[in-house]
Amino acid sequence: MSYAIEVEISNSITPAVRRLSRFLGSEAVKELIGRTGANLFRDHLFAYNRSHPNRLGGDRTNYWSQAARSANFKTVSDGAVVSVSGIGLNLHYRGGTVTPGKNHSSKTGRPTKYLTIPAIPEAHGRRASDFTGLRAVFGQRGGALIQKPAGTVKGASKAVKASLGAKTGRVVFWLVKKATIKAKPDIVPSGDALLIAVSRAVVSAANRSRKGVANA
Amino acid sequence: MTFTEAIQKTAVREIMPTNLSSAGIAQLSSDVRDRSFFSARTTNAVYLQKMKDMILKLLAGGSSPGKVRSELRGFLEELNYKPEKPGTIEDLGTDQRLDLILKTQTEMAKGFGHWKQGQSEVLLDEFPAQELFRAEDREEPRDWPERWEAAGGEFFDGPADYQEGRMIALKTSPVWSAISEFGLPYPPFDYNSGMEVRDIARDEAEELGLIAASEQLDPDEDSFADTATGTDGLDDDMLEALVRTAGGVLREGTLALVKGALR
Repeated sequence: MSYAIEVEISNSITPAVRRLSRFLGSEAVKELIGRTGANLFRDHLFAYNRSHPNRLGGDRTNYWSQAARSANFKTVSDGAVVSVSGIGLNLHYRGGTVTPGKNHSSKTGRPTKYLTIPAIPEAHGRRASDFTGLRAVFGQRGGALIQKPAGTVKGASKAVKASLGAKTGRVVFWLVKKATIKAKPDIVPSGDALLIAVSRAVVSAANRSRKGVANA
Repeated sequence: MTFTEAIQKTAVREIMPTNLSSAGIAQLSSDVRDRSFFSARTTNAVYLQKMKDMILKLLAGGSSPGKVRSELRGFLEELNYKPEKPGTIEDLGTDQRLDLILKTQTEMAKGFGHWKQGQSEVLLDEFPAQELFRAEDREEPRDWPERWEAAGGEFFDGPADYQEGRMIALKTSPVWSAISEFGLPYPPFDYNSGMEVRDIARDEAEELGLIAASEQLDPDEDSFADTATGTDGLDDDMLEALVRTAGGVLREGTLALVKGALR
């Protein structure tokens, strides 16, 4: 599964930062760059989480907040690498198509043949195995996991109801053969924002160092 | 210590079977809680070990919360677990209970990692303070300004989540452990809390009067203390329960609803 986004920030990101890294000591600058970058990712993703609730309106998993909490850095030879992690994070960033078969069905034990897409708010963040009494029904336009008791098919368009024919129950998940995830480049802070934040942090440290008060 | 190393600190946690309620566990010193991977009323060490393994897998990106939940429920069935009060938070197999544990443990590991990375001399110098802010909305939010003030925290002017003002303090301030249900200086500060921290840069911290220009802070020592006991302050009844039930069997009794857990 695509798990992490990594961004390398060089300690030569601007001529000023490069000069200051010689003045401050490159290790100190790398730490500053790394932490500043990680902080920027945290703030950015926490804000993204608040402004992007799930479309179904169910209980939130706060996926982007969890990614924010994972933001961290490590220093490398010429700068720092900032990482954020979470299941599917890279997929969200770059976009792509997801197909079944990587996991195993809790019912049959065999590789999955369909992806489950939540159809009701209660299904958001949940797996099919979290529900009881689900049964799969298939029509020409695809399939669904529906829940007893019997009744008219709810949550489906006319065309899908017609396709599912006489099957009854509440649709909890849609069953699809593939899902296309649109790229979300805005989950990563902009290059400008990174540049400004890093420059500001390094200049501040350098000013303090000149005054003889910094640890760097 | 790298972030990954900090997170994997959970791997060195002992498993402490206990039948203490969540409220009872809150009375343990934070050192003991830090070192012990626990879950209230769970005394099956095998199950706790499985839970610990699954959480480490979750933190490493090798699984998802939904999968971990399913696996833990399946494992409880293998152990022939029979809940005393099915469907309640005392039922180890409920989504509520499992979600609470998984969420709290993973967030605590990440909170520690972020805190620990910030404890170098360089970073403590450049980011000596942090701000408590609301990262996630809640239907019934706790009164964090009240808790902050009771812990001796100061409020500052500026754009804030609460009308009382911004909640900012030096990272070395005891207010952070004081506002924490778990006695730890990093989030989460309570069960299912949506509050988080953000670094405050040196310049701003000086402007706010939190730190003098020439002042330097000393990095905090590792909160995962390597002590054998850490039961100072535990009253006699609680200590007796801890000793008696370590490795024991599940007992009758009620579990106090975890404060705010369902918010």
